[in-house]
Amino acid sequence: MTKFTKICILLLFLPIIILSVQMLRLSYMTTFSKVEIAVRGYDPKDFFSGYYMRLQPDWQNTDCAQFENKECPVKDFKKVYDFYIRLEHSSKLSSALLSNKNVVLEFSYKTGYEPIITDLKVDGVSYKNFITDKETLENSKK
Amino acid sequence: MVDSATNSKPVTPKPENSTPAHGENYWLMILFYFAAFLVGLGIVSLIAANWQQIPNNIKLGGAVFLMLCNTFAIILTMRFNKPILKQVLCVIYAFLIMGVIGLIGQIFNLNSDMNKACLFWALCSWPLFLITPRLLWLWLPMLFTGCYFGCYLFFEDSRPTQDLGLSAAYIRAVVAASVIFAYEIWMLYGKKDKTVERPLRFYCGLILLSPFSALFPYMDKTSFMNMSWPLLSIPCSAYILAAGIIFGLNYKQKRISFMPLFLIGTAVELILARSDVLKHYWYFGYITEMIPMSICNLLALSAYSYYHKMPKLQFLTLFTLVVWLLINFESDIFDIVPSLLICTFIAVTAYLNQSRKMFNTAVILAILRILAYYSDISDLTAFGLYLIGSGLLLILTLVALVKCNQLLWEKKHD
Repeated sequence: MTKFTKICILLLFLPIIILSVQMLRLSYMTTFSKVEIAVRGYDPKDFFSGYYMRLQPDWQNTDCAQFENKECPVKDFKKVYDFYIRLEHSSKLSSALLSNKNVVLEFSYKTGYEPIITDLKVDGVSYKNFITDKETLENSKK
Repeated sequence: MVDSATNSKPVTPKPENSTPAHGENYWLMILFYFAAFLVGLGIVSLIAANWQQIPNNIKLGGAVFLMLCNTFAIILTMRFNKPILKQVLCVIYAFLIMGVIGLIGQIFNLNSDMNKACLFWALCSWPLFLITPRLLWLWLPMLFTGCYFGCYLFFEDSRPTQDLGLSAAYIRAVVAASVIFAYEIWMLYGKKDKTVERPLRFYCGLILLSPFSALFPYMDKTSFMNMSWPLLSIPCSAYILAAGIIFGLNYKQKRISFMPLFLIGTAVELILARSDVLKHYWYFGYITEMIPMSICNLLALSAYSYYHKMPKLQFLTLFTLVVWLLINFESDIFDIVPSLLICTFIAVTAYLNQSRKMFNTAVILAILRILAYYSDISDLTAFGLYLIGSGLLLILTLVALVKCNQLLWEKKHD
């Protein structure tokens, strides 16, 4: 093998290294303390809105006591967040948002790091359990 | 030592396409790997059907494991000098990197920012182009997309008024017809000058490649559908009259021109569009009934270029037909009929031009189009089973094609 070929072989592992580092970094960032931020729906104009819920932090209804100095770090958070859901669950979650249920996004947050979404909660329950309970209720009614 | 019997036999040159050359087997091998990819994707879909039950760590670990397998497979192809397999695996690796970036974005709920994803992909995948420079055609558009992704917003937010839209459409149509007419007159009566003829031919070809003009954002469906029939009859009559004149002039000179077909095709499609016959062609809010018109123009242009022995223009039109075929894989029955007609046209053209590669491409595209017709399946489990079945069917078809190909081309040369 020529020297060039050997360099190419080594460089083939570069994508794996970059992506693995990215995965480990993001996984580490999900181990920080959890905070819950109230959210409301956002009117999407996006090709991918069918696979993501677009949510806007609602700082007025958020409990700022969970943060350091009892102040909501608005600048550390984005104005709009995407939360991935399965398409068939979007209608149930959209109705939860519209019916004024207590919908919050759970973040793993630490000062100096970008907040990472860890869960979506409806009335204190993870959205997966909320959807499961709702489907169980609908099936029992049938 | 040559005896008299052998010496008296005429020496017949070996037909060029009677035996498969390395280049012609290239596409068949690519398709074999594509069929294998379909089977693999089907297995992935079956896994995805139970996606929610799989822990995130296993998903990510599985992605890294796939990338490692792919990397070692590429290294083996480099070690044992298998260039085709190396290129196929590099393409799969490039798409795998894209998939893993998407997976990370999904698991960690990162913003669906396309330009950042494209740039990140370009950053991760650049080493692949040292190994196979042909992947540059994939890498450069992604880099371009990453830098200029907001261009699609232009089509959403910058619609002009209806009057301006109609005016622009009319100007475009009149200019195109005028150029075609002038070209025909010049070809019939003008001095033959290559320095003028070639750019003029190229310009006519560009105008007649209507898929590009169909994406022009100034045609608004509402304004077009509100156009009165007397108003529409003006350009339609002009096109038909121009077609008649061109046909008559060429007939007098004993020359066949397919330009009248373009003009008549344009008039017919304008009438069909106004009649709202092709209701399902509606993307991004613009009239895409122009797409069938584009196909008619491309077919006529391809026949024109074949008759006037313009191989590059013919290749360009056939390539555009293939691109249309690939970007319009819908399952509606109306879409499958023109797709199969295009494939038949390409196959006949290939047979006339004695091109095995083009012929094989046409057959395979027809098969893929039929498979895509049944791909509108929402259930992931059923979709996975469909992909596995499609992959196996494609492999069987390719094997049959290889077996029959020899017979077909030997018969042609006989």
